[in-house]
Amino acid sequence: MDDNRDLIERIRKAGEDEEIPQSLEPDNMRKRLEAFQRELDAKAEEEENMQPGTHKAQPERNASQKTHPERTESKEKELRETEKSADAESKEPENHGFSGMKLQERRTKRMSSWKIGGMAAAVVLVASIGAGRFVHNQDNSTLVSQESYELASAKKSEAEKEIKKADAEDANYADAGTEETGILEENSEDAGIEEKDVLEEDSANAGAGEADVISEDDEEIKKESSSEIPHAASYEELYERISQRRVYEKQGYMVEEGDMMYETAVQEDAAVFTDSSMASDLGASGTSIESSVSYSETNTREASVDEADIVKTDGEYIYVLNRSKGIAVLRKDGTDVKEESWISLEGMDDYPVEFYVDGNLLQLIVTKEQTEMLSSEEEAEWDTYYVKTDTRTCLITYDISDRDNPVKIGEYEQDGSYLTSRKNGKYVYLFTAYAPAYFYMTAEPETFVPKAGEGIILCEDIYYPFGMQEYTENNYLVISSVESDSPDKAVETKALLSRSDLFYVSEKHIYVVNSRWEESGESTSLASFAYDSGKIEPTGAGNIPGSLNNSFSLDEYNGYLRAVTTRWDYRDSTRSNALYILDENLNYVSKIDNLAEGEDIRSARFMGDTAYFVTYRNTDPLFSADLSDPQNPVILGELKVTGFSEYLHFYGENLLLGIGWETDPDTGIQKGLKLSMFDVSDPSNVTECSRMIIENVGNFSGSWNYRAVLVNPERNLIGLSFTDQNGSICYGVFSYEEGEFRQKMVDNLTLGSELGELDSIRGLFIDSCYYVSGNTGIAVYDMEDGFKKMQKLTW
Amino acid sequence: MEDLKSPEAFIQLYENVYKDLYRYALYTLGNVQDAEDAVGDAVLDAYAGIHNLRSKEAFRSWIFAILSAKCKRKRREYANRPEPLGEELPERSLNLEEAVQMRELFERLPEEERLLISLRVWGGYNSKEIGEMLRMNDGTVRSRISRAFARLRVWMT
Repeated sequence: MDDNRDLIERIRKAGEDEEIPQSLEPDNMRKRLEAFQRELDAKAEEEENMQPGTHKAQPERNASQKTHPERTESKEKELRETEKSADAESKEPENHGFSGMKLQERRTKRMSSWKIGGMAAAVVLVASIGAGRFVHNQDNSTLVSQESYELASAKKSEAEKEIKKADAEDANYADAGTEETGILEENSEDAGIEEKDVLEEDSANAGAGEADVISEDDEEIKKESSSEIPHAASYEELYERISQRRVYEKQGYMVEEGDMMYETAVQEDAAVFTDSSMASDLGASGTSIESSVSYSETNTREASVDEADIVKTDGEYIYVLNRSKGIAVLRKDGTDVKEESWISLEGMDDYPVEFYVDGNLLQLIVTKEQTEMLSSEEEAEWDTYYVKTDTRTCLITYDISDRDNPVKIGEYEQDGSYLTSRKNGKYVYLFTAYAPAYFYMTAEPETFVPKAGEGIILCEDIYYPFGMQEYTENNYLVISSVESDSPDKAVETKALLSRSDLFYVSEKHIYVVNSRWEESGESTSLASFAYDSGKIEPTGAGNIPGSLNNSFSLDEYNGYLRAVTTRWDYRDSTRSNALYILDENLNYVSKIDNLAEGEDIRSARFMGDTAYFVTYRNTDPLFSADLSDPQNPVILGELKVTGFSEYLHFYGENLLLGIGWETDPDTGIQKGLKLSMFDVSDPSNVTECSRMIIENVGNFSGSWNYRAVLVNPERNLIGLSFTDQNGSICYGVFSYEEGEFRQKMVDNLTLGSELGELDSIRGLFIDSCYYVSGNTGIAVYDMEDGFKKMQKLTW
Repeated sequence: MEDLKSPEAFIQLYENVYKDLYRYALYTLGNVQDAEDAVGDAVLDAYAGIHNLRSKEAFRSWIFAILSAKCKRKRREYANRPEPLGEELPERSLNLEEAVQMRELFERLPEEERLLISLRVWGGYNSKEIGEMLRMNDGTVRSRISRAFARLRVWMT
């Protein structure tokens, strides 16, 4: 790399000409941190004043200066103790992968002060802006996995009264003193502790690195188990939460509007292998298990849950998306394809993303965006501008009974940019991310609540699953279900006030994943919703230490959610991995941790009671775990091979296919793309039967998008797209015969037939024709004639 | 570190890195607004967790790691976005030509290479350090970076 110094210099020099935004200049940043610190102090102060059973409706201004009459010595001591314990850098005796002990201590204290025997009480938690909102790693106790609560209507009205009181007292918002009330209701009929949305009392413990998983010792907490997630009690309350972001704005930097805050994973998943008889059905086939597969389907994670994609086939027609023109409807004609018709885009600003084909229905997801640039005087000083972006996502349904003449029969629209979707039966579930345009926000709900269909979402359908952890938590995740027979409206809409990094949709549940950052590493918050026939209901929320590699790291089976995580501790640069099992309400059940220290998870796949996951540093241990007893998961085996797999796919009864990279174990230098076949007939003794290395591979699209991979064990086809060292886009088809990988075809598309960018390349087959399609064309190969390229059609 | 818990003390460390932080984010994300956001978020995260940082020397790589995690996640979001409308904000670059051209070249790189090369150029880290920050094998980092540099060279001629 040293011989690139000149280039580095040149790049740096070019970069020096880029102007640094005003908001990042040290003076402004310091002001921002000062405001932040004030909030942290205010919060710490407020925390001391909390007492069980009190209705803390009053937000406090200048809390740091205020002395509260209710503060008692014991509370102060408690506060200081917990501060101390959080600051201490002790390694806990039991390594839960987080500061379990400290958390335990703190929880015991909290428990004892909050326990209310047999009495219903509403607890109002006050969150100051800074602490609650900005320090996302502080809120260690939000919706802890085994904490839950129930919303009783009596308490709800109590809480609503409190909110009204709070509203009345909240005249104005000062820049640094704005606080808000988040209302939780606690049903302590069982005399247990139910803490939801508990803001981290000790601001000093910011980022104390405590994941919220309570150790097994917290029996009390484990007992409580309900499925409620708090929802907004009123639009006023919602407004207060969201408008806190304005404090930022008044500090004088550019307002960011539109849907910019979401971080979503490209890969989202749906997967459960419900029993091993599914093994032969893996890879998604167009016909039943018994007969031979005639055409390929989208590589979904879950057999019964469809996912949208940019290419679809129904065995007779192939539908290919072109981002500027719409969808090409192509008809298979022997080894030819003919353009039958086009589904055109309606507006110039419409951006088609992906679609579903189901019988005679085609459902296309389109993003529509309108942007305005405006500025105000204040901002003109900084020479900055507001960009107001209105992004909406539409599901447009077409009747394609006459393939020559597709007809639009319905359109449903909701606010937000498109994240992902799923289809189960007749229902499409649409997920979008919406951020209110702060500049235009007033107390009017229409200005800060997303619209779904005809009107804004009702506040009882807006949930706070992760509490006040994130200062950027002013974004909504909107989920709607649309029925094929009524394509103009949603059956149900739910929203979460939270960003979401990942989704995993099983046959029964929608899991929304949120990564959080703590100084000791990341942790993962999960919220789950049960869905069925268009109905969506929240069922639980939880948190586990570490982060998920991608959504294959989650899997639901028999009512349990299993997850494999990597925890990366930046303080001492250590890594370790763990497997967690949570129950239906996302309460902690069991775990195996401290696996493969120093490595991180590269891929995972679950099959019923068995889990396979790959960790990697220099070599690739493929772990197999037995999860048949959810209380006692056990590692069965660990196979070390060189390189690592990024994608795992079961291949028939006893085989597991891995696609990844081969590396030199000593130098770590990458040697090529690797196909591996593992024999998993005995999970405790997994062996690698065969491998094939494809050299000179640059990028493999399956690394980040599993839908780009075609794996069909019945037809014995493995198709994938990649770039070579020169950047040429290639497509390869392989099979596994007599214990070895065979290359059936590798076509350099860049040289032969430009079909579009790597991300747009898909492989599919109908009968004996294999197709490779992209944004701008499709190529046909005859599988009965050595994959000879028969035709290329472009548009 | 306790003594870094004041904005004043934190900012002193921040002053040494903020420009590189921003440029790193800008070249990685390709967008002024997003870069500004990402850096702001990362700073607050860092400040919130600052008392656990062991030494001042570790500050730079620590905050860079936080920022690159943010950038990495933001890049994923781009896959579902419509085509970028182009830079919507006026830039007052002194040397517009070269700066714009360089950013445009970066845009052509695959996202991972862009992230890596930006860390190398703006973070100043070697491949082993980058590997640790991004949880990648350093051999992979090395080969990807040299490939990216090679590409840039070709485009720059």
